[in-house]
Amino acid sequence: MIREKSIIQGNEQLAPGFWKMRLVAPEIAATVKPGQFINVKIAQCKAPLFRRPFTVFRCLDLDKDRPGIEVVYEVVGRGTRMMSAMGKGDELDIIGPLGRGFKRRDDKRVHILVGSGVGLPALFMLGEELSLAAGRGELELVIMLDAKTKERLILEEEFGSLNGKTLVSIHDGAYGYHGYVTEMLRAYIAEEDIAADCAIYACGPELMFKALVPICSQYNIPAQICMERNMGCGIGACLSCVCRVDKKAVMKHRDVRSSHVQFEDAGSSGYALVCCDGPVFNIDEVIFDE
Amino acid sequence: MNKVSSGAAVDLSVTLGKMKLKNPVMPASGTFGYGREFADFINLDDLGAVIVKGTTLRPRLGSFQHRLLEIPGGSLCSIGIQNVGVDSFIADKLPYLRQFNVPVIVNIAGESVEEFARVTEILSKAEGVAGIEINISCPNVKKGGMHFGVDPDATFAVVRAVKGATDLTVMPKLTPNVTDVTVFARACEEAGADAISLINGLVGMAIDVDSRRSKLGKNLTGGVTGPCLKPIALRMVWQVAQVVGIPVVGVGGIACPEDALEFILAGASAVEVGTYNLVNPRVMIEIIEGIRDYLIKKGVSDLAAIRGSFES
Ligand SMILES: Cc1cc2nc3c(=O)[nH]c(=O)nc-3n(C[C@H](O)[C@H](O)[C@H](O)COP(=O)(O)OP(=O)(O)OC[C@H]3O[C@@H](n4cnc5c(N)ncnc54)[C@H](O)[C@@H]3O)c2cc1C
Ligand SMILES: Cc1cc2nc3c(=O)[nH]c(=O)nc-3n(C[C@H](O)[C@H](O)[C@H](O)COP(=O)(O)O)c2cc1C
Ligand code: FES
Repeated sequence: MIREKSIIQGNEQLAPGFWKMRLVAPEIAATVKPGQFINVKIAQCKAPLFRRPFTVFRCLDLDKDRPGIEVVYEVVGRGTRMMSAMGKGDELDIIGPLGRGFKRRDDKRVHILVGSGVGLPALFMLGEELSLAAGRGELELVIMLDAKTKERLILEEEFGSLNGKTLVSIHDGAYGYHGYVTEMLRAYIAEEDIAADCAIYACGPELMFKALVPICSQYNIPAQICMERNMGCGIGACLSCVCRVDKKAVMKHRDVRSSHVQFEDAGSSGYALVCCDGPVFNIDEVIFDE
Repeated sequence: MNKVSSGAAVDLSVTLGKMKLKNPVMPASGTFGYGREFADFINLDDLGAVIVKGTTLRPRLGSFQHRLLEIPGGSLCSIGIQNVGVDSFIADKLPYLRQFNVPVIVNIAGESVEEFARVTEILSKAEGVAGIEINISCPNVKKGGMHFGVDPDATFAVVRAVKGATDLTVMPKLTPNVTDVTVFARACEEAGADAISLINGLVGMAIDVDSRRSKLGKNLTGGVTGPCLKPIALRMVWQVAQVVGIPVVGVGGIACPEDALEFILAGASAVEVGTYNLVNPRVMIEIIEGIRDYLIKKGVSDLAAIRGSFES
């Protein structure tokens, strides 16, 4: 974990309510992996108080070969509103890289990214990695972008530039597939007959994950999902970001001793920390309705 | 007051029971994990003491998920003392802390007087524990779940039992959820406490008007912590410092050197920093440096000289 006083290089609006911020963060850029996040103290004030977590959208070389990172964020409250008013030269106190990101399923041929709304940025670094491998013919990349309305669809161009097939679903049918991304996904898997040889990586609202569960279990497809919880610290100290998890699935997927997962005495479930054990979980690990 | 010239060494050390602290600043339980979580940001040797997460006899899973909510200037949180249990604490967490030259205080919780005493006995046999902080903001199962800390007799009984189970420094931590906190402070002193810390979170709630449910999910209520708690904590510390002879440790909303100094002027011997550790992992170091700078600026060589010097 590194704490950097990061200088803002740019902060631009992508669409109404959505922004992209570019930060000088050489040390974090050098080590961040797809799906990891940074925790941002937006201003040295007591309200807003806590740091705000944001996934690293991508790393890039800023001018003079200085490594930097970008975050893409939606203005939803006081903290993000303050961020949107900041500009080049302003300073942010950031800690990162945090959490456990995506693990590439190299045993599968077709890799499907499923992102909705402001969950999309969390998938981009992974998309870049998969795109390189797809360029070498090692795998196939399918990218599914979802939004409620066309105005809320972000990053279509960025994802479109990757070596993959891009599909869009818009809930009101104004553009692309008319409906939810999970319906589009189900149809795609059946049409292409890829169930036996694909992996899913998803980020979006919890409702979307819940809709993924029956698809993944019906076809026995491995899926990794990027979870959100309110966070106090982001570093495993306060135990506020817990997520209910299934004991059997957790034991199958990870080394519990080196995790922060704690199980019920005799029960079949427990709590994992989203900031350390996540934010990325295997979908079968998470118990959605506690 | 002993005058010092700028740059000279000042004495920040404090004695709490049998513990000698090199300075008066330590983390509040539950906001610092087991210390290791902060190792990338601070050297634990620089702290006055380390207070670890609330520890119980058996492991505890704690509250339901959706445990933390930001409120203006603070948090509303319910962790429910999730912890690994005393045995795992000793086996897996304590060895790391032993390498530092800093007193380790274990915050303990329990559901019965016997449980508090048992956890204390176990900790007293472990190498590397210097003190016990008793979290009395826990439901007393024998009294239908009434918190120990809101019943002076139960408070007395717990402190007496813990004192009887150990030679370590014993510091009960008072809850603000009472009408007159001095009654509880006196009960602790009579029961033999070596020091008193206060305050724990003030119970509060928040409702989501769309779903008509608690913003803390199934937890319903939580403790108010953070900067917004400070005026209440400061008032209570001031009240308690006037009625007991043992050292008082101030907790609640401390975020900068001035906050800590307010508590010391009100009579606190030392302070615990809680919620703000989560925001700024170096805040305790900044507070120690700020207290030192203040003493130098005021030309005072010893922290003890300003303690309780608030003029009412
Ligand atoms: C691991 C992780 C990665 C994230 N990545 C991104 C991203 O790349 N882009 C993006 O736009 N958003 C992302 N979020 C959500 C983002 O953290 C919140 O939108 C943001 O904290 C809101 O702050 P606010 O002050 O504007 O809102 P307020 O509602 O005023 O915030 C109040 C409190 O609630 C917390 N909070 C509110 N919404 C969320 C949320 N969805 N998740 C977690 N905490 C929340 C805030 O951190 C704060 O403590 C991520 C969340 C997590 C947990
Ligand atoms: C996330 C969190 C966890 C806490 N856990 C404990 C605990 O285990 N035992 C305890 O006595 N107090 C616990 N507390 C209370 C704090 O130690 C402290 O008394 C309170 O937060 C007020 O101080 P602050 O305003 O500086 O945070 C916790 C507080 C927070 C925010
Ligand atoms: S946010 Fe503090 S433990 Fe995860």
